[in-house]
Amino acid sequence: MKSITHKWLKIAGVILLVYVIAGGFLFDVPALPVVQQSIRNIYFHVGMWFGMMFILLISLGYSVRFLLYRLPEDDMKALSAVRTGLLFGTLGLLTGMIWAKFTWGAFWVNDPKLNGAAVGMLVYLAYIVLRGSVEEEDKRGRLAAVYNIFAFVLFFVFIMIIPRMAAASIHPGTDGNPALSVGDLAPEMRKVFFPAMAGWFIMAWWLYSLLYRSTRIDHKISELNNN
Amino acid sequence: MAEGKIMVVALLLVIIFLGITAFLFYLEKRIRVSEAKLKKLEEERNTNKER
Repeated sequence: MKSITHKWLKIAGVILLVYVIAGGFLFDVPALPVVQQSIRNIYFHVGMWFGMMFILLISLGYSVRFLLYRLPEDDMKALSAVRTGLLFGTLGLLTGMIWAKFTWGAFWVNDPKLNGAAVGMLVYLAYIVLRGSVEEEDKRGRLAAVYNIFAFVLFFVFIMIIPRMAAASIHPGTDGNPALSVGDLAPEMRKVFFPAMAGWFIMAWWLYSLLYRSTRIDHKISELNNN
Repeated sequence: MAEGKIMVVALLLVIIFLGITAFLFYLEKRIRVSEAKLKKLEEERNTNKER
């Protein structure tokens, strides 16, 4: 029953994103100065970034759970979620860079929000490096779980708090959340934006579950080989 | 003319995306098969240990 529900959820995610790609490119958008047609990127850039935040929150949850119950599965779930988050974060950065080129004239500008996002991603990359440096499984899990909690907090400090304190960011969303604040999104764009959020969330969860299952298989094989 | 071109771009992106999802479904099937094989292997090992 559970796998049937999961299968339909994945199919729903695929349908939603097909609609988002088609609607994102073909539906009308308001004619705004500077951003012009590039506003269509909001369905992809913001969607991927929110998908990353959602999956990193899952990772945080499993890291806390690992520290409480010490189940290796929770550590594997946290790792898989971070890997998925890094993929979505990289895609979010790339779509953002393309957007920046067409609105600000350069792929990267010296902006607190952009620099914060890059540093935040590096913090999560360090999580992967840290894991690789510890041999013992339980010790690695505990270290990684504690680091993951710090990484989550740091990430949000870098992308949400510091850019707001700097108050000189050209990236939208300094006063609230990009695309979610009142007046940020034209009504005709909402019919694509909200399905995009749902679609990217489902896609992030799907990739995470695939990564987790393959990590668990690897783990079981090495366990069988050791016994 | 421009409208026709954006249609082609959207169609191409949909095809690429569907290709990626087809690969994910294929990967899922492979993982399911591996999980089943591993479960069987584990059960065999446990039975052998009990003997």
